[in-house]
This record gives sequence, C-alpha cells and structure tokens, in this order.
Amino acid sequence: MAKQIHFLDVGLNYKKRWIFSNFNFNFIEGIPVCLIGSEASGKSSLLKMVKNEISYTGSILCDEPCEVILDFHLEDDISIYEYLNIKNMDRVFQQDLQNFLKLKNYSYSVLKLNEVYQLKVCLCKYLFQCPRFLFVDDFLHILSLEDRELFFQMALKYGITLFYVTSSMEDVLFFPYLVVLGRDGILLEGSTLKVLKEEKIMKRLGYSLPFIVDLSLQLISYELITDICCNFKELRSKVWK
Amino acid sequence: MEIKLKNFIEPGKIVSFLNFSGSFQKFKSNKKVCYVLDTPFTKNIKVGNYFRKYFSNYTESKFRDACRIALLDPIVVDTNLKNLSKTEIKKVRFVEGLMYQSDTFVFVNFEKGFYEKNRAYYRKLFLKLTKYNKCILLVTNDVSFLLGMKSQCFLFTEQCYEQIQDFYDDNLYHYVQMPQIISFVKFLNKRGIVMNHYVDQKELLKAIYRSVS
Repeated sequence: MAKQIHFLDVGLNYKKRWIFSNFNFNFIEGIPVCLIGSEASGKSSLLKMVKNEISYTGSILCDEPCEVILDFHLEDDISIYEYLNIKNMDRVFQQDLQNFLKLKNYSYSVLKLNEVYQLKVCLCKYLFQCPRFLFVDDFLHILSLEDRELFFQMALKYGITLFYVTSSMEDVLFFPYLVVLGRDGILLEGSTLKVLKEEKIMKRLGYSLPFIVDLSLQLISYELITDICCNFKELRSKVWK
Repeated sequence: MEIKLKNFIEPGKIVSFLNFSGSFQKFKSNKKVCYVLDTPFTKNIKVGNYFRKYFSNYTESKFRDACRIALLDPIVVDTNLKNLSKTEIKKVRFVEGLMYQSDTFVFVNFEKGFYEKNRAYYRKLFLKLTKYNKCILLVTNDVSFLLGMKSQCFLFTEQCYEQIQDFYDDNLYHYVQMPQIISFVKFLNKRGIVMNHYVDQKELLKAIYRSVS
C-alpha cells in the first residue's frame, strides 16, 4: 500500500493572525505535488511544519520519515568528494552526478562553490539518500529550466516523491498534481492540467499560466486547436497540421 | 573587472543588468540610493516600530502611503522584522526607500517570489517612478520580467558588458534563461514557420491566427 503524509486541518497562526488554515491534504507516494501560493501565504512555513521547526494547529501524520530542504547554503569546508561521499557511491549515482553537476573536479571545497553549484550539490546529497518523500522549498529558480527538469527526472528515477513549493508557473507542468494554497486552505487542487484549465479563477487569483498552456487556451478560444498542449512540438503539429 | 553601478545612474531612467554578479549584501539604503534585496533583517523589532524609531521624517500617513505603494500588507506592520518572508523583506526595504525618498532604487532579483499580478504592478510602478525623476536599476536574470518594459539593458560577462538591443540575440542566452515566448518563436522559425520577433503574447497570438487563416 502506498505510503502517505496526511495534513489534517493544518493551520498557521502568527500573533492572532491566520496565515492560512484548514489545510487538508493527503500527500501520496508516487504522486509528485507542486504547491503554489501567493506571497507570504505560508508555503515555506508549511515545510517548516513538516520539519517540526515551527508550531502549528492541526496535525501532520507521516507514514514514513521524510526529508525537507529549506536551505541549501553549505557551511562545511570539505570537498565535494567528501561531502557527497563519492568514494562509496553507486555507479548509477556517479553517472547522474556527472550529468547534473557537469564538473571535472570534485576536489573543490563546497564553501567555494557559487550559489548554483551549492544548490546542485545539496540536491544531490538528498537525492542519493533516496528518501521516500522529499519536500523542496522555493529556491530552484536559480537553476536553469533544463537543470530543474533533470532534477525532477532524477527524483522520479530514484522513487522519490517530490513535494515542491514554487512561485514559478513554468515549473508546474513538470508535476502531475497541483495545489493552490490560499488563506482558507486549499483553493484549487487536482491534476495539473485540470487546475490550469480553471484559467479565469487562476488569473483572478493573480497567477499567470505557463506560457504554452496560456497560448493553447487562447488558441482553443480562436478554435485553432481543441486541446491544451504542453510542449512546443505538440502545439506546432496541431496548429500547422 | 570592477563595475560600479553608480556609473549607470541617470534620473528618470530604468536600467537593467543581466548576469550581474556583484554582491549588495553590505550596502545600506539612504537618501541617495535604496537597495531592495531579500537579505534578512537583524534587528529584533516590529516593522512599524522600526520605521517610527529610525526614520526621522516618519509620519503615520507617509508610512501608510509607502506601504500601499510597495504593496506591503498593513498586517505586517505588527510583525517582527526577523519573522518576515522573503517577499515581505523586499517590500519593507522598498518602503525604506520610499520613506527616505531615495533618488535611485536598486532592485536585486526583486521579481522572484512574486506572482504575475504583482509583477505587472511593479513594472508599471517603476515606470511611474521614473516620471518623478527616480532612477530604477534592476539587477536580474529574468528576461521575461524585462520584456515590454522600456529599459536600457546591459549584459555582463566575465570580461565586459554590452548593451542589449534585441532580446532575440542568441548571445544573451549563454548567460541567462530564455523566456518561453522567445524560445517558442525561435522554435517556429527554425521549422520554417516564419514569425516576427514578438515579445507580447497577444501579438504572437494574432500572428499565429493570421499564419493559418
């Protein structure tokens, strides 16, 4: 049976001010989730709750221990080689590490890496531990879209179910399930395309849609296509048959 | 190569810097320049009290107006500076500049974390501020935030910097992420579907309609 993490009536109250409340959600193994929300809506705080770093109302029940990445800045003055324990690393991991980091030399101190590489090294550390559930906060935007996609694919390959918090709408298409967080809990949730089809609600809430989805929806209204397309190739072949 | 941003300051202009690697952490805002970045505050004080205590020109109405302009939620006034979210920190730093009535605003990766409605608001606001002779310097890697905004844009590389005239210049995208609209138009052009260099989605939509009908 698939493991789950249950969020039951979870809420965050700061000095008599509700940041959000009534967050009820079952995070199921095998269904990666992308969570979006407006600024200061408590997205990062939700991850801190999972990590038990802040107090909250309601309860979070985990069938299985999970990992939460809230910060990626590395503080130990050791080499990447030591930090990731490459010596004892599986060959598949080594190959993926090479593809992801694209570094020739692992003897650099992690402290001397720039922000992007620190993040990549940090993500690898978590990925190679293969936790069943991995929560990631909104800082992947410093990576290129290709690197983000690669990271999501690696997580999938290692059987890690991601719970990804983001403010980048382009990233939501990498996830099959989308949750929109608001003051009163979940505003919208469901398969990503189904949620994005609620174009008017999404825009009223202040969100833009991913470019390709937005363009598809407009082309549908012009009756040039009939379905939403998720990539350029698909859209081109449908419009210019 | 050391580059000083002050060399780019020109009243009434928006100047954007792509792939700029300088650090702004140690700079403090003042009457001349306001630095808007998400570095956490170290002071253990509520937002409202901070402005009351450290800004000699503080008046309730002035502060309220600054918060409204910067889209800072009034509820945040009672929050401790240390407990602010990243976007709230940026808004508070923006309010600082508005209170100082700074001549120049340096926004560092400001757009990150904001959703589209607010990004669009700030784009318009920057334009408005230039009409009051303020200079807006935008340090960012997000070209999509700059599309459609009339700004002088400079790309920084290891050795030099150059002014960008066309966001469809491939050279630019060795350093920063290509916006999806540009990526899509380039994709179509490569496959023989000729499209102009659109940066506006509505214009692109019309062009697609024209090309098939």
